[in-house]
Amino acid sequence: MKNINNICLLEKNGVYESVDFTALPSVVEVRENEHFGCLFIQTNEPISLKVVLKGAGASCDLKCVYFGAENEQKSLVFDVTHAAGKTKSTQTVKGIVADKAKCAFYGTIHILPDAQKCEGTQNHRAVLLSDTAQVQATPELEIFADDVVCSHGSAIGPIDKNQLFYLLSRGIDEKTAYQMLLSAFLQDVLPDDYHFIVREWLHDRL
Amino acid sequence: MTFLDIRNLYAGIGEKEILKGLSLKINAGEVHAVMGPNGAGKSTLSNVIAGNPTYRVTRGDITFKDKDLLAMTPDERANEGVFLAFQHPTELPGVSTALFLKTALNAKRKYSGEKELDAVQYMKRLKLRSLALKVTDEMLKRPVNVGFSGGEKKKMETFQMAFLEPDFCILDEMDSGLDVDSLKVVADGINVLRSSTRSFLLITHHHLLLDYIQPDFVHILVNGRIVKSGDRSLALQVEEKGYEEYK
Repeated sequence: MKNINNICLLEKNGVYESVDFTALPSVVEVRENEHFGCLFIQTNEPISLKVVLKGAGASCDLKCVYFGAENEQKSLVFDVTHAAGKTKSTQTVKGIVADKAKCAFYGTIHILPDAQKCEGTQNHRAVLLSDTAQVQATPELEIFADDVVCSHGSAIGPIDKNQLFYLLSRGIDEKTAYQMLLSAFLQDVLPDDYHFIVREWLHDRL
Repeated sequence: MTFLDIRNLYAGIGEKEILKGLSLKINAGEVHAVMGPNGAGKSTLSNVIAGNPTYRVTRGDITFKDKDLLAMTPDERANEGVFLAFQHPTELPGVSTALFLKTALNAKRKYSGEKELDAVQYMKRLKLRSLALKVTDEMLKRPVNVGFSGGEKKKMETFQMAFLEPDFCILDEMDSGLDVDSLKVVADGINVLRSSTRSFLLITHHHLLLDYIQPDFVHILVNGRIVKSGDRSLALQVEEKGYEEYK
C-alpha cells in the first residue's frame, strides 16, 4: 500500500497503543504471569516476531491483519516458544490478498519438554480477491511435552458470492459491498479506528 | 411506458437451460403470481430479474420502465426500483443490520439525486416500518439475518422492502417456512404497500399466500415457460388438480 506503512500496536491493560516496530527486541521474552499482546497491520515490509514464554503462567496474544496487492510478495513469521509450564499463546492472522500478490504466513509453536499444561492456538484465514492472488500458510507445531493442548487451523477462499449479491441486490455498489464484507471479516481482529485502512486499500482496487 | 416486459427469455445455470422462452408483461399497480412445480424455473426467474450473476441469460430481453434491465448491474436494478425478497436470505456475520439498512437507503437516495436522510428522519422511517412488521429493536441490533429464525428472516425481507419502497417487488417463496401467524404479518406488510404505481411478482408453489394477498393475474410456470395465465380462479384450480395436466 502506497501511503500506509506497517502499523504495530501493543496491548497495554486491554488497550492498543501504536509503537515503532523496530523498537521491539528481536526476541520478546515474557516473564512469570505476565502477558504480551500485539496487533500488526501489515501493508508492506515483512514482519517477523519471536516470543518466548519464559516464566510459568506467561501468555501472549499475537494478531496480524495483512494486505497484499499488485505484484507484492510479503511474509509474516510468528514464532512462539513455550519454555515454562502453564503458559498460553494465541496467534490470530487474517489476510486480504488481491491482484497477483503472494503472501506467506509461517506460524510456529514450540513446546519445550518441561513446559507441561500449556495451551497453544493458531488461527489463520485469508480472503482472495482474484484468481491470481496467492496465500501460503505454513503452520509448524513442535511439541516435546505430553500434557499440552495445541491447535491450528487455516482457511483460504474467495469472498462469498451470495453475500455479495445480497448487498448488491439492495442497491449497494460493488466497492461499498466489498468494503462492508471485508470489514466484517476483520471485525474481531481489527479495532474500529483502523477500518479506514480497508477503505483506503480498496480505493485503489476493483 | 411499459412497466415490466419480459420477452422470450432463455436462462440457466452453467450449461443447464432452465427458462425456455418465458414471456411476461406486468403493468404498474398489478399483482402477478407465478405458480409452478419444483424445478419449473420460478427461482431462476426472480434471480435473473434481480441480476444474480450465477444465472446466465442466453436469449431474450427484459425492459423495466422502458430501460434495458439486463444491461444493468444488480445494484443499478435495485436503485431503479427492483427488489427481490429472497427465498433464503443470506446471513452477513459482522455486518450490522442498522448499517446495512442505512447504506442501502442512502445508495438509493443518492442514485435518485435525493439528499441523505438525517438521523431523525431515518429513525422515524425505521420505526414506522418496523412496528408494522413486528421487527424488534433487538433484531435490528443483530448482524444481518444472523441467528434469525425462518419466520424472522422473512419478516426482515418484507421490512427491508417496506423501508426501501421499491416500485417492483419480487417475493420468492415468501410463504415457505412460515407459520400462519407469521404469514399474516408478512401478508399485511405487503398489502399496505400495494399502490397504483407499485407492482408485485409473487412466486409460490401453493395457493396459501394468495389467500392473503389477492393477485390480479396468476400464471402457471412449467418447464421454463408460462403455459397458462388467468385470474385468481386459476390458483384454485391448481390447488384441486395439481400441475399434472400442464406437464
